[in-house]
Amino acid sequence: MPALPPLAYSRGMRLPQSYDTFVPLSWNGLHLSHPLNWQPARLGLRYLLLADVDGPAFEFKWRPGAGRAGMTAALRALTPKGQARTGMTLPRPWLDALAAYELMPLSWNRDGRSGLGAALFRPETGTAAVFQAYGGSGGPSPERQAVVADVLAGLDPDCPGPPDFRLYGLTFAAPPGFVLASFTFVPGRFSLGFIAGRRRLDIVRLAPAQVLLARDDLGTVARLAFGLEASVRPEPTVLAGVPAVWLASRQGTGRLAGLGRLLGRPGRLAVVRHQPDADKLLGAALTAKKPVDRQWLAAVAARCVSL
Amino acid sequence: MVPVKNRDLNEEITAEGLVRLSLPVGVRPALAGLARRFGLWDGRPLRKTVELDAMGTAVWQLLDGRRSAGEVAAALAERYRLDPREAELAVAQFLRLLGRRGAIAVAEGRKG
Repeated sequence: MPALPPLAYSRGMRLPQSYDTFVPLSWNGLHLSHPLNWQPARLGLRYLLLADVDGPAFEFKWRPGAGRAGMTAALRALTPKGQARTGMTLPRPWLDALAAYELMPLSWNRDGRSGLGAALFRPETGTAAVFQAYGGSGGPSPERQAVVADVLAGLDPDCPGPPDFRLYGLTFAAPPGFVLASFTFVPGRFSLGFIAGRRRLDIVRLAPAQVLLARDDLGTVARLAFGLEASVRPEPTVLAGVPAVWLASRQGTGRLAGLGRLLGRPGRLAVVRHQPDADKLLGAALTAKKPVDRQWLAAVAARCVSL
Repeated sequence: MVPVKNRDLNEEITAEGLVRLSLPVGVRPALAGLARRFGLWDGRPLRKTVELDAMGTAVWQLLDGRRSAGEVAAALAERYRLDPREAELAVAQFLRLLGRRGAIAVAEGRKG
């Protein structure tokens, strides 16, 4: 491999300081828009923390169908134990943005940091939630309050239909019936694990592809990404005009293969494609007790798009 | 926080364009005494060689004693089209590893 070219660098590459540009984010059914210089710093199945270079900026936790009682549980979950005070007054733009919710404002202040937000309940959907904006000892600055008002205006934790995802360089819409059960975000890898009954769907995004493929071929990287045995032979193909590989484990239709799957060794079919324009590898794998329909998995994998 | 390279390490570029680092290794005095007594060590500094991968090389080449870890992460994200948060995590993890091996130290960044 030739020596890497010197990396172009300018101070402008530092995380943008402007709050003018908002980017959409979707996470397990939650939709919002946030400033470009806020990044998702921590995720839970129904939890999101956005942070900027100075630390936590905005936090949201929600629970569909939790009911009105879920407000206090959500409030306790996000605020320092015994520190939260209720009954504060929220900025007028925040109240306008949250007109569809019942509110229980909260605030806390500890060790030079503070939070201002509210526990929420939406009667039409039964969703309980809590949000807070972080600030210094004096509370969130007026600038942050204005930004949070814009974030709240676009906030929707009750999007109908299967959950969709748009973050960390990946967009994906889960197939009907599949719910998010696990996720991983580590440097180079973002993966989502869904379950529907006894079927498990794994979605993975690996980057940068040029570095991964410099060491191993696409088949080997794909096999390692989904933890398949070394005996699984990759089948090169082309999907959506880009190179891809299929990996099939225990996909036979014979009685012996069927018996093996029923006895606790489920079959697995995976497809991974190389998206050279985005320098990413995108893959999907379904684990099931029956042979997997390739067309179905190819369609699911096609929903996995690089941002 | 600005990562600064250890002045005692040697670096070379391999034929593949990757960085190879040679680092001095600290030896516990008790072990050093024993090794000397049994003629296993002549007292010269021991060195350990580490070869970086492509991304490690890219990060290493960005460490100039002036750029902060955040600036290095931003440059890496640009170079490899990575998510900014992902680049930050990757750089933080890599710098932690280099620090543990004594290849870098962290200095206070410039003000303003």
